[in-house]
Amino acid sequence: MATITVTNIGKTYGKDVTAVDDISFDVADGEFFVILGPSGAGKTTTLKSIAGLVDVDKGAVSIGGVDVTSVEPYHRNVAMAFESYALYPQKTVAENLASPLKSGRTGKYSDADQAKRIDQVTTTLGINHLKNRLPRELSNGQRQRVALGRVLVRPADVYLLDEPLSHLDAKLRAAMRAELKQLGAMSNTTTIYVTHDYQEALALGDRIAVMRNGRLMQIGTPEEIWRRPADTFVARSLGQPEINLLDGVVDEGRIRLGDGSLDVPVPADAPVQRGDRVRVGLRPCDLHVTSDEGSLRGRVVLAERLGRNIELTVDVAGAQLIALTSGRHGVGEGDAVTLRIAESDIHVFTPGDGDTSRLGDKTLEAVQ
Amino acid sequence: MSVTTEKTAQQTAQSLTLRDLVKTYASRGRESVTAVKGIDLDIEPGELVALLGPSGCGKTTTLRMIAGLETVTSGSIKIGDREISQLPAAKRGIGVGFESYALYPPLSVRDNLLYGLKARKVEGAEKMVASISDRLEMNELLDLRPAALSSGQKQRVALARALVRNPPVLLLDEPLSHLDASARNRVRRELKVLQREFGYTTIVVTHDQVEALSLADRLAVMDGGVVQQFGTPDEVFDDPANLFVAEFVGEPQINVLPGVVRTQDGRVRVEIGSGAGTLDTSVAPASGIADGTRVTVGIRPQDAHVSSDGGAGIEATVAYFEHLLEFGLATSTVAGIEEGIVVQTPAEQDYQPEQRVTVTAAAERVYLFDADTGERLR
Repeated sequence: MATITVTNIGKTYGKDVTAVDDISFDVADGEFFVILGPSGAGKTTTLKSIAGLVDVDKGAVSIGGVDVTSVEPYHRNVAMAFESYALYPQKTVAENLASPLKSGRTGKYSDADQAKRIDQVTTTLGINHLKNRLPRELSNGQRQRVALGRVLVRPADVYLLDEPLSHLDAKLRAAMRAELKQLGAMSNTTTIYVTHDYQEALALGDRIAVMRNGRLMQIGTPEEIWRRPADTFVARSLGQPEINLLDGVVDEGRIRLGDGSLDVPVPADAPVQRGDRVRVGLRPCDLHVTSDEGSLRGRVVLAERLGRNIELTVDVAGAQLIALTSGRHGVGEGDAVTLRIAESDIHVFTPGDGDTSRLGDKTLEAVQ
Repeated sequence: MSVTTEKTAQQTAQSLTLRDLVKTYASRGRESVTAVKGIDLDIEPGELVALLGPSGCGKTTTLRMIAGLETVTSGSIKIGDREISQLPAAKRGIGVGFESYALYPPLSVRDNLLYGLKARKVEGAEKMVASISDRLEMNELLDLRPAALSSGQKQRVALARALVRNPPVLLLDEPLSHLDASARNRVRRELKVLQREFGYTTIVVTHDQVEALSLADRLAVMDGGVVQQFGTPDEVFDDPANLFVAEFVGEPQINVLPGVVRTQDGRVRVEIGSGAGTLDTSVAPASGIADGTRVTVGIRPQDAHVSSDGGAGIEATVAYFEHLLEFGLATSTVAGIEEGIVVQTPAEQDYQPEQRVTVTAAAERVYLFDADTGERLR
């Protein structure tokens, strides 16, 4: 158990590939901290910097209040699981799981202790029945679980987990997600967990750090980054289908969108004035089909089933809005519909191309 | 591109009919393997059909037989009234788009489109390219190299190449699989609108059930070389033919629980767990299903609800609860069974571990399957 402090770390590969660019964050003792971002964002480099597998060009890493920046990985007492799994091919699953306990670096374990720890881990990961198999007799998903088990089986100050569920199918991933969360809560070990899957991040993280191009875009609780995304990148990173982004102009307490015949109220916390150009973000799951009067009136261009939900592409005043409905409304293509959105679900960003920052409400844990 | 639904003339759309299509791979000294075991499909002119299934289900082999890239062991493939199963691929009049875009990097988009036509010495190739480029609104892309294109634009070029000869049937193999999530949704909508607009009879092969549901007019769910169900997205999702279809389609995955049939008062109910309660089903009493029959019960997490009024349902205990902001997932245990039951809960609700809850579901959303064969009981 330990706190982790990362201060202004940077890492450049070769001459000009900046993998991590001046990143700082603190992880509390026992916290489950998730780093979310697309491939190439610098998530894995950040994790390896903490493990000591990457020498940072600048900055410092402390574990448990001790500066470990120049400490060998072996002596940092962190346990790391990689997306690719390194198992001893000639050893059974049980032997693979026992090997970290036999190394002696984290104390001695009697045979009974070893068996108990291994049993706890295999039960949690649902691989009890595989104990006597060799790695080659396992599926990719099973191998990944064994590799994760090798990390979790020995006590460490810190667990560093790099996309540990990425090779599992959807059902197993959902089940393992819940198991992992329980395990984290039980062992109370500080955990940093890297993923590109926003649902995993929301489900697991006590806090989430969103990364892009080597930089931290926002750190916050799942609720904070969902309700108050710091910029359009963070907003787009969470939720499927992606958040709708529309250009608009502020006018008398309303924001006019599209060709101007469509508008939404200005949220109370947005510091904007009449005539300001803004970008408005509306999540598909926050747009509700209603029979009431409203200002978001349009025609359904596409109605596509995503499972129980129907994804509607609605042509509203020359703009295309994506909305999700439960499918029980019986809305079909060509139908005229009115959409409703709560004022608190309207996100306002500064205008411009590319990703732009949120307007107003800076109560977030500010990043840099 | 703006999304429109205007339909242009569908003079090229034709039906595609598969009859008892079989593919057996035989190799000397080894047991032969039958990858496709007698498939019948009637695809209407202009229809978009998805072949959906896990790897090894026979969907790609089926597509390759239609394209003429695999010989047919037995059975028939017809475009309109024309039997094509014995024709060479080039004579079938089928446009094929593969999983990767397979564009030639040193060639401009225009030359990529011309390449296949020139190789076949097709007359009027330049005109055909101009025409498809107009239709797909991609004139501004013609002089660019593939490296300069976005993923959506590459997809459009690959589509243009499959369509340039104006084929009556279009085959697409995993057309969206290599796009990231954000681009995949956008390109999927574009593809659907284009397909509608031009009315090509189209078959899309995919392993992604959301893609199949959202894209297809009808989908054929395949497993073990056999079509398990062929129907509209609504039919496949709401009325699964068997346990395989119910489990393969839908995310989070459907709850699969052991149950026992209880018939009383002319209604068929199902008991789950030991004394945990029963649920109404829409199985007809006339179906003749006997009281006490052991069955497999399927309930989608989105169709299961936590009852607030303490009415009839399954008594369960919340084991863990995940709040995913858009919704929650409550995984609960039921006395007497090993399987947990997952309930998708509304965003505004919160649950705690150890909380006692009653889980209900509408009768028509409680699916019963034969415990041995997995066939749906109705």
